[in-house]
Amino acid sequence: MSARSNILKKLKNIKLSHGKKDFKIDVKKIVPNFKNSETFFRAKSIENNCIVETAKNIDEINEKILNFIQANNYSSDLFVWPSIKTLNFSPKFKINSKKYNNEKVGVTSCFCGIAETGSLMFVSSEATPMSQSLLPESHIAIVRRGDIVRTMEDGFNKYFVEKSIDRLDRQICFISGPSRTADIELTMVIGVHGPKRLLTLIVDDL
Amino acid sequence: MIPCLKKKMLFNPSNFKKNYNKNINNPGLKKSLFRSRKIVDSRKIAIKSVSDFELLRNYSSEIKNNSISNLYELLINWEKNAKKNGTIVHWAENYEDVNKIIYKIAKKNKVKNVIKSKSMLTEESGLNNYLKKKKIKVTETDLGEYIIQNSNEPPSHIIAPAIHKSKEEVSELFSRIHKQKITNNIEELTQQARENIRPHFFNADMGITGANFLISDSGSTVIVTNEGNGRMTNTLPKVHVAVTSIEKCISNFEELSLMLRVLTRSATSQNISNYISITTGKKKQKELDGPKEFHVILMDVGRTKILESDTWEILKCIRCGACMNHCPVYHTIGGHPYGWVYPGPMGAILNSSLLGNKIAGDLPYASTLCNQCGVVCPVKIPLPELMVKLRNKKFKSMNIFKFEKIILTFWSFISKNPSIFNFFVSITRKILKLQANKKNYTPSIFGLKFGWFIKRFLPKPK
Repeated sequence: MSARSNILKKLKNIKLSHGKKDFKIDVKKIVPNFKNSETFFRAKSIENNCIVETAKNIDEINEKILNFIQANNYSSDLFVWPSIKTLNFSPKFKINSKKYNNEKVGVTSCFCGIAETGSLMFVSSEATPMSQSLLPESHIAIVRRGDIVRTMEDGFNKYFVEKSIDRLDRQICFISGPSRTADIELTMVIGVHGPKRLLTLIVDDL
Repeated sequence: MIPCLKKKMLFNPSNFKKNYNKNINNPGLKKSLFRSRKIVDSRKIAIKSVSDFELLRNYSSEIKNNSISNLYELLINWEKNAKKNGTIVHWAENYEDVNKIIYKIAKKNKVKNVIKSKSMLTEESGLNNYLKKKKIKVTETDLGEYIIQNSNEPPSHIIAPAIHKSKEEVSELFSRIHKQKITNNIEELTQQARENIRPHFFNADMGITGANFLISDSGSTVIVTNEGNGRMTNTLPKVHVAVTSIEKCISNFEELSLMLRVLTRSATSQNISNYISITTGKKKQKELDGPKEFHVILMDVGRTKILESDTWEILKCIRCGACMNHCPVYHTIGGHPYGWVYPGPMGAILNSSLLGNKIAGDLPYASTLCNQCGVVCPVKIPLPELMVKLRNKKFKSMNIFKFEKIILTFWSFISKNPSIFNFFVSITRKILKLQANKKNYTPSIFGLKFGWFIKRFLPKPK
């Protein structure tokens, strides 16, 4: 007998009914009742130690990125998602969207923003890999104002409009602020293995 | 059968009494453990960021009740969907199988270097030692796990494994292994770890993680981390293995969203952890990153046995650590005396349910039954009740001539008979009065300091 059939056989024979059958979740009773998702998203992102800025168009995006890399003494090398490399990035930047080459800054857009927790939702694909938001020392994430939803449930619902649940993309990832730890004396330190800084750019459109 | 119990004395629950006595008298440890009380305060603030935390606890408890009752259907559905997305699914009934499956995958892929993000189940199976013997290098990448791996110690907390270490100890350790200057600055120490672990991520050919949840509807695994090592481990190496146990399976994304709200607040007092990765299958064609092979190992190892027993509720546990953060016993003795992978109230129950009475029968006594753990448990496990059940079980299986059994049988006899009870109380009062000092305290009985009197006085009866 294989381990699989043994385990499943045991599970099948154990008849349990610990849960209530008519059980329903009402998320509205749990989530705080905020009016403006963008304002709430912004406040929560700052709580998560993100830097939050807004930009109207690509020129302003270029300006904010430039300010950011100058303020942190980074070079102009950017590790960018293939999906947004065709944006009119300023010629001042050197754009790489293939294999990670020790760039200090990763630039991505995102699937949506989650207001309740100030999180960004990412979905992996050919044009939206996971490395850009993970390997560089800083991560700049561009989120469209219209893509900010209230809760994680809303994020999933938005995703499942186009996706069948049994055929998901390899990874869905929620990022909420730069990486952190409290493993030494429970003292919080920002920047362990993932990015040390996360700049969220809220834009009108992309 | 239980690989990691063989060697070190420290790491064995049958030495519980000896080990806690050693820890009680360690002032450095006391200082470290005292620090952990700040999680109690930060949790109080964190749970206010939802409108009704009690309702949230009810919901998550109900989700776990339901999923544990329907594991058969959930797991079959999970496996079907996981396979559809290219995940290779393994089942394991015992620890040897878990280790062997991992070694087989490693051998097939010619793996030399393994990176691990936190995984308690491979801690249970003693995987690191097993792979070391097979000449495969394993590097723990969670900062806390990295610290204890390099100091050859077991974890003492499920969320903050190195909670018992002071920054001075970490600094001494790092200066030795990194050959860098001694610094007591925690940020610099973290930076050192970042720089020294980073190359391991890129060199590794295999990544091993745990999984906080499995989602039946989509065949996904979910891991929750703050440091980003979990994401590194499931993104960079060519092979990713997630080791998880069967009771982690829930139905859908609605349940996941809810469980995450309760988990992160209870574990690290955050509204949400920094990184939540939901992984479904291997790297897709043309994708630039991700593993070429994705394996999930579903472990039973005693879970089905617990499921049938009267301590089944411990399987609802989502490993947040809130029970130990709030436990006065844990705060006094630390995590190591529990002698196995899981410390604190949930550890006392799980260790003893998994390892049995003979090895871990003393652990359910590591509680004052104050129910702090029961009140904070995000999935409403009645921890003190379960501990009493386990004590009961141990008592029943005890040899009739055992001192403890004789005393307790005697005690139960007199407490059921009011006149005999009163008789003994009056004698005790007389002795205590007789032995009291001028300050109206009784520090010892006939000069003997035992049990209660070792650390405390009794007041003189009126």
